[in-house]
Amino acid sequence: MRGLTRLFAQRSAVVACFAAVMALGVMVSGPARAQGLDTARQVVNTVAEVGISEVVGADLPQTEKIARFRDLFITYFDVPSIGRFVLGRNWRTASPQEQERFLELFQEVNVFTWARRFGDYDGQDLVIGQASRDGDSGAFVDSQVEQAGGQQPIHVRWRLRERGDTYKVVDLIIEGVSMAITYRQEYNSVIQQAGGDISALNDRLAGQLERLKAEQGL
Amino acid sequence: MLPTAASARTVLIAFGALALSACATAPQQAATPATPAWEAENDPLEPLNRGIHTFNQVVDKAVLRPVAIGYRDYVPGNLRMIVRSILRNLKSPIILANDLLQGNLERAGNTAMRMAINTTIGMGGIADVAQDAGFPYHDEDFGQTMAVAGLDGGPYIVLPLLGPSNVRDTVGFAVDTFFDPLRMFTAAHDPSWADTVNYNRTGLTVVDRRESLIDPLDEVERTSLDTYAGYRTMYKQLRAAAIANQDRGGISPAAGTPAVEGSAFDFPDAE
Repeated sequence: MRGLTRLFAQRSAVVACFAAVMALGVMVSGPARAQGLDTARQVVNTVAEVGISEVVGADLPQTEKIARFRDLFITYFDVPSIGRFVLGRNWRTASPQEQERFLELFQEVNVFTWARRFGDYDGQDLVIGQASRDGDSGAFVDSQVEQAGGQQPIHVRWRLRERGDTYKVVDLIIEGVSMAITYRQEYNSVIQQAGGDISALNDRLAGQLERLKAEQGL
Repeated sequence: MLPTAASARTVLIAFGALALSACATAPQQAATPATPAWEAENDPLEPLNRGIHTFNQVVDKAVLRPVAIGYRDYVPGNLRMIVRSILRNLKSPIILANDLLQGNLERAGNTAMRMAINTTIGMGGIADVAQDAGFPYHDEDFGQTMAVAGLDGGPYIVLPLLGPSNVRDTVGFAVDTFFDPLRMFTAAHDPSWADTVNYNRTGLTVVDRRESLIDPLDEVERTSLDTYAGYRTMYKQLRAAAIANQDRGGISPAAGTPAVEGSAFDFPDAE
């Protein structure tokens, strides 16, 4: 919850009110199992609403949008867990410095990859559907991104895990393709080709980050 | 889907690959005993596959993608919709056969209705009126039918020009191609228009498909650190979704079993 409060403290009054309602809702419902799915759905709802109104749809310079998106991303996504999942068995063979460098680069590559798409946003709606249970302490939330021009909507499934008294996003499954699994298989292949050397992956990620920044004139 | 000349080649490729993979599978399985099934990439032909992947990328960059871009830029959207609709209608007998083979009567009924409505009122599929009448399109193929029957995909294969596949789906593709009614008809009667129709159909199928993939593939090419490994895992995941009939807009809460346990994202020792 502290992360939530910190994020919203910097935001407009409207969002602050929304956060208060959110916080209340979470406090009242508590960690009770029966309320879990509602909480998970609410997290996705918040990410979508804040993401659209405060980041991609807002009239702001790109650098400010990126800063806000990063806040949103690290607050509602469990980036360290995603990173560890993505590295798989390579995590254990990596030194603490390499682990730390990887998590930092992985987070920033994600931030700047999404940032590149901010300009593509054209008022599409994210319709949040049903939430369902995923084992003992997880949830799936289904959603659809409506597309322009009569194209079929894109199905996005959010995977969340229980973290303290809230849920955090650990994966996005887009039309059946899991981002976490795809990253994991790609990165694992890069590491294998480098003879098991994690620093080779980190160097490639650093290069990619440079490229992404340059493309956006940053 | 391919014209007669090419289908024989496809069958050859399929069985060639089967033969090759038969020799190559055993050591792969023994080498990685601890890898969970979802993570194990059954890819004993990786060096060869990577070569074909590179070749495909060169051809795509030089020919297929530019043609697809031109098609999108210069052919009006309405006309492209008509082309897609006609191609889908031509494919519907194969889709229907696979719906039936999978014992899925609901989807078979849907495909039969689509065929009946679009061939008549839709004038041979020029208009997809069935879609508006509540019979949306779905794809189906013999690779999926074999999967429903319990067959594993087998080793991953990158086909020249056709791209990612596996042994099962390559055989499935050859079977679908062979039993295509239009192909069988032209092969049996050899009408004067046979080559024109078959080659145009194949060409349009390729261009239509590549056009629909312009944005997603551009995204992969721009963001992936290893496009070969990326396409390999995406192919596997997309096929799993298609086999579970979750490939399009499926938003039901019972959307299949996830490939990975959720607990794989929990690290109690962290911090």
